[in-house]
Amino acid sequence: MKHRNLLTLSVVLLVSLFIGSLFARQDGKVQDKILGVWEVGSGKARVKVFAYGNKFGGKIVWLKEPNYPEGGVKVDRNNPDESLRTKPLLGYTNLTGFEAKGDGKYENGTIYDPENGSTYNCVITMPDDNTLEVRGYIGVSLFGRTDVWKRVTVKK
Amino acid sequence: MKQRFLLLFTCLSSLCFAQKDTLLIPEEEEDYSQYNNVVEAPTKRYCSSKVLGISPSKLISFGYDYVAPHNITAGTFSGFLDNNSTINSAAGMRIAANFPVISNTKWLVNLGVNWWETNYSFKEADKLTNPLLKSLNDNGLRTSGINATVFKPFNEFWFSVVQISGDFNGDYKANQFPDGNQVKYSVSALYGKKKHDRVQLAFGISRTYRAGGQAYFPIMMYNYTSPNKKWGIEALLPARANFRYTINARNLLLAGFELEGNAYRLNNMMESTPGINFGSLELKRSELRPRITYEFGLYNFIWLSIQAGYRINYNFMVDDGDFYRSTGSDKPYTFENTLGNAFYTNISINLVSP
Repeated sequence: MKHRNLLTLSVVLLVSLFIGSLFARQDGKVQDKILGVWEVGSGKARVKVFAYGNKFGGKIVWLKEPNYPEGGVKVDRNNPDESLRTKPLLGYTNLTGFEAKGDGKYENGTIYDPENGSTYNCVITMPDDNTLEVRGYIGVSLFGRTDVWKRVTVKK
Repeated sequence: MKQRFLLLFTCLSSLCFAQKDTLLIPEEEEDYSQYNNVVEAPTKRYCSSKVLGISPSKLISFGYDYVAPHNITAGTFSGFLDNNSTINSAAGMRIAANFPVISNTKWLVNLGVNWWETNYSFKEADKLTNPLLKSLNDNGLRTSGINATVFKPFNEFWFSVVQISGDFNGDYKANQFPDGNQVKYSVSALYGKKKHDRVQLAFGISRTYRAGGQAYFPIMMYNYTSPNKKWGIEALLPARANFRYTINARNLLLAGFELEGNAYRLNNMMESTPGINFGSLELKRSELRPRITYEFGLYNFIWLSIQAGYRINYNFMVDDGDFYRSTGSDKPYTFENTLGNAFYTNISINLVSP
């Protein structure tokens, strides 16, 4: 009886660890062309795209003008949520929820534009390994605008 | 009991572990200075059509335009005597939609539709004798059409813009289908440079009816935003120019002018007036509108635009046919009208582009 219980416990433990490791492996071993650092079309910011779980997000890692002319680091002063208006833009997560759909397409994500405090639905297309076409839109993709981002590589 | 608890804990912990990694975005500290020195991938860059800080482009717009009371004198022609009257109001809906159907690195193609109307309400309308005034009172003026704008960047700096529009312009009623002979088309082409993301300058040529009759103008596009992004200039000369003051990202003040105009085929007037010996009368309407505009975000992507200004008449003549009248031409109009100036206001609710 004691042996049987121990066996059951071991099987459950192994299965649980296996299920957990599936997710863990996805997080730790995602290799996707979209990962990396990208410079936005205006050249004013660089965004690092990362994987979390089976999705992709991005955060601002560089700003051409990180400080206000009057002094102080740039913060999310246009955010409609007042409590977030003091959050620094550097390190800000502005892309969330993207799912790889194959053929260089990433869908179901959102993009936040700190210039006006708006969050848009977003699809990303990779026409080549070093270019992202980032389309923010309202409701349907037709009502949108595309910004073209270029890959940059950090110098070692 | 102990084993069951252990089993449950094991299952939950593995699920929690999976949830944490799949649903939450990792917050990790890193040295952002490493991103100062980067190497760009060897790809060709193309400039975008958007200038930083410019007023938001309108995807869908529902507006109402109202011109305050003013006088009009219709000239003598074809045996009809001149006729003075007062227009109590010239007002109507202005609806437009623009859809970016192609938007990628190398091409931006917008397709649009528009509907503009001006309904005239005359004082003592039953006493009008001149066919033009009667037609304006009974039918008004309408424009409905389609347009396409193509933005083509050649590299990081140089670009061209081509805009084509085809409109039905005439004195047809809102419930009346316009005639083919009421179609007018306009074309503009520009070539220019976007030196950086805050300035854009281009020169070109336009075939337009903004001065009333068919005309060919050299045109200049200049869009600029100051380094502190508080003010800027948005100009497409000679059609319009605005000085922009940015109160904040969702509140803008614009001060400037627009030259509005079109040629309207007066089919209803000709059909309803016996004795007119002309087959293709057209009203050449053109007006200068100095104005102040306040645009602000109402809710998310819905913006309101409130405009007030003065409408200065430039042309309200009638010609027989659609032809090019060169600057300084002394060719007489079929009949000449005088339209008084007046204050006007325009309010529109808009879905703006990201």
